[in-house]
Amino acid sequence: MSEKKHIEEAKDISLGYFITGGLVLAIAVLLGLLTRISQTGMLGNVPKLYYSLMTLHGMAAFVGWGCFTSIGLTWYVLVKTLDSPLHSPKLVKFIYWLFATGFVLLVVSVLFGNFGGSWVFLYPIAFYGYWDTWAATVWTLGVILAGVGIILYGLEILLTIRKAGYGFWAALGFESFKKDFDEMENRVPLPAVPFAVIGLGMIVATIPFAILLIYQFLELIGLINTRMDALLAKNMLWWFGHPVVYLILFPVVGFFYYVTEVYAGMKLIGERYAKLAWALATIVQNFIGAHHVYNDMAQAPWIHVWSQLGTYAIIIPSLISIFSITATIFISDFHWGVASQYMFTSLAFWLLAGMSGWVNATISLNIHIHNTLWVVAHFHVMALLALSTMIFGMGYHLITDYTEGDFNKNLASKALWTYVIGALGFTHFWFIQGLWGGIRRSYASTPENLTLLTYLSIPFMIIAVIGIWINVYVAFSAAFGKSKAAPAATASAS
Amino acid sequence: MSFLKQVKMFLIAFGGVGVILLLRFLFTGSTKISPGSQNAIAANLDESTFTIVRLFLIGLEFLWLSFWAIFYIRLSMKATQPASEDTKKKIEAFEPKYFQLVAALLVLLLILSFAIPYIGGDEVEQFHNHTNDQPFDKQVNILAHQFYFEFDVNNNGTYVQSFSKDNPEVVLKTNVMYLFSMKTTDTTHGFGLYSPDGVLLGQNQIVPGYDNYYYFQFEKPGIYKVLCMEYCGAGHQVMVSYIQVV
Ligand code: HEM
Ligand SMILES: [Cu+2]
Ligand SMILES: [Cu+2]
Repeated sequence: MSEKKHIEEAKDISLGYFITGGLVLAIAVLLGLLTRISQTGMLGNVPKLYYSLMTLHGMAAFVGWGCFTSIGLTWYVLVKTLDSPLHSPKLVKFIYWLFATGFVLLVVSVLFGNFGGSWVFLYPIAFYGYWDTWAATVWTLGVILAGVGIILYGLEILLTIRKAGYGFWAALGFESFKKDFDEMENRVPLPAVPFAVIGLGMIVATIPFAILLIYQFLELIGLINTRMDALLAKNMLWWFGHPVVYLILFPVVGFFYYVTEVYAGMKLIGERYAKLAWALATIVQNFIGAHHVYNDMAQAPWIHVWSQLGTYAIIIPSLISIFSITATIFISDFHWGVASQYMFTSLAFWLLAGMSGWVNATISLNIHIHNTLWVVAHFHVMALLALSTMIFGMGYHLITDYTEGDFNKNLASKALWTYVIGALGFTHFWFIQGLWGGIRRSYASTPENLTLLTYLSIPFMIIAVIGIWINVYVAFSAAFGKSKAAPAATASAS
Repeated sequence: MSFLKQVKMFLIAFGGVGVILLLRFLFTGSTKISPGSQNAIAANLDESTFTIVRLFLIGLEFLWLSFWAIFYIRLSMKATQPASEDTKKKIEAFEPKYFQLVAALLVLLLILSFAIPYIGGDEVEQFHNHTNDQPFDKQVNILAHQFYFEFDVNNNGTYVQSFSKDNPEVVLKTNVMYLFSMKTTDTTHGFGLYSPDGVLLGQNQIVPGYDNYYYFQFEKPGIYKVLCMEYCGAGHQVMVSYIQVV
């Protein structure tokens, strides 16, 4: 098999990102476990420790891990599916170092400077904390670097797709409107579409947030002396804060498409409807962040209503994709391996997470669960059972390709069970606490009469953490292990 | 140096330093604090309509999950051989119908969602006022600070904190439409109102620089709890007050 040079390069790059993300996740989930343990009082009366750990856990797990893995694996999938080189591998490596530097700054800000504004550090809390001003400054700078990296990621995707010879609108799914769609010769490969959509989405989403960050930075170093309007700042935060979730979700759907096609040995069915759904997502994705602001009565009511409508509409791409993937698996000669096992688990839990999300998205229900542990349960099901399973699945696919199948598959498949048992277990204690009014981001375990659940959740968290560590171990030993030289040698020989 | 090598060096360096930093942080990085007042946070479960809703949600979720588990096992057994051409055709023909089904379902949920406030009763509906131009009987001013609330019950500038759970200083009446007008003096806080049996009746964000309005009419007497619902700093967990309703 002759592997092209640009594919080899993309493999290396994606693997580098992916294992960095693995390490970040391994640390982050340990911090999450410590966060929960600190709530039990075992470490003493340590509210600041709890809030700082929570902050670093949230940012590392979500943005750190997301940036390195979903962005990292994007490069490989894009190059393979388009069968065309990256627009600029140099830029892609530069983005890596931007994230790496940003991440180091975040760690320093929390572990040295005790920053603890939560991962959203809702403006103006940076100025009212128990941390030093320098810590908030370093934190802001770290997030700015990540933000720049994310904007460049979006640009690089769009440029790579253009380099492969596809049109901008076609890549966003709008070619599904063409009458002769079924006869068209040169259609954009479906797995590339979610990447184009998120590429554009992140550019649009990140710019206002970057302005907010720069404003906050200038205020922290004393160059600006006027507070920004807090409601405007909140809207700028969530204008970015919701789409940044899609920075993980949409690439993951791209991985789904790609892996399904590989293991099913056929093109996905329902391409036209899927593209239609993505065209819809292109339009809607940037206008629904205000669903995080449902409880701000200072906000104009029409924004509430609009963001609920938009949020309902964005469910469509998920439901359509699930149909295409499931139906394709069903009718094909599907090959079950480590990657596809992880993928299927992800698919099942995607729906579970989506269901609890419906409650959050609905204004009239939101006032009962906003900022409760219900929400925390919802996004941990999403993050652990739906997203990180698929990201590991995709990673295992890449590793299979990189090591030509020579890695510890047995251990990898066993680790999958720790996900299901651990994550499903501990999130359910949160679901219950949240429905009974227990609030999130509170050092006190609430409601008080359900404190027992806090203790009960810890063993499950430990199981989940162990599962993640096993996965990271398998990935590391495959990437840096003994078989490392072999594939490169085969490639140069052929 | 190849990219992967560079990554490896970075990870070794970062991982090593990171572990040292973390240990240092855990042992020395955090000083203990005990903000203003340490009120117990209590919520008692009671047979309320909400309990039914909650149980329904959890039950629904488990059913959903079992459905997928069964489906998964069936599919993985089936999927080792390809389906017949006939099945393929049928599934492809089903796609447009599925699309319509999804759209119909979403529209249905949407209608349901906007109907919920009317099904849920007055207590829920009252939270959806964004301005202070609705009729009300009495105005109560609330100031939120790090890390306590202050209440001006008579709208005359005299504020009380009402920390005591057994004997709250703030006493309000049933069947009076209150307008809570809320301000913060520092960062964003939240106003969460819990019924005597621990149900989170609703909440509102207290955004700096704005008057944040909240209408409420108490239906039952008892001790209601007010809890800060937005993370505001190291003493967030102690921002609790009580309201006695007679
Ligand atoms: C074994 C795995 C994990 C454990 C034990 C864990 C634990 C925790 C705990 C205890 C909290 C604080 C909740 C609260 O009291 O409000 C939390 C918050 C959070 N977690 Fe996790 N988590 C895990 C995995 C993840 C993953 C994989 C992600 C994301 C991809 C994630 C993202 C977050 C975020 C964004 C927050 C919110 C932080 C904030 O409010 O500032 N977690 N987690
Ligand atoms: Cu959102
Ligand atoms: Cu608070």
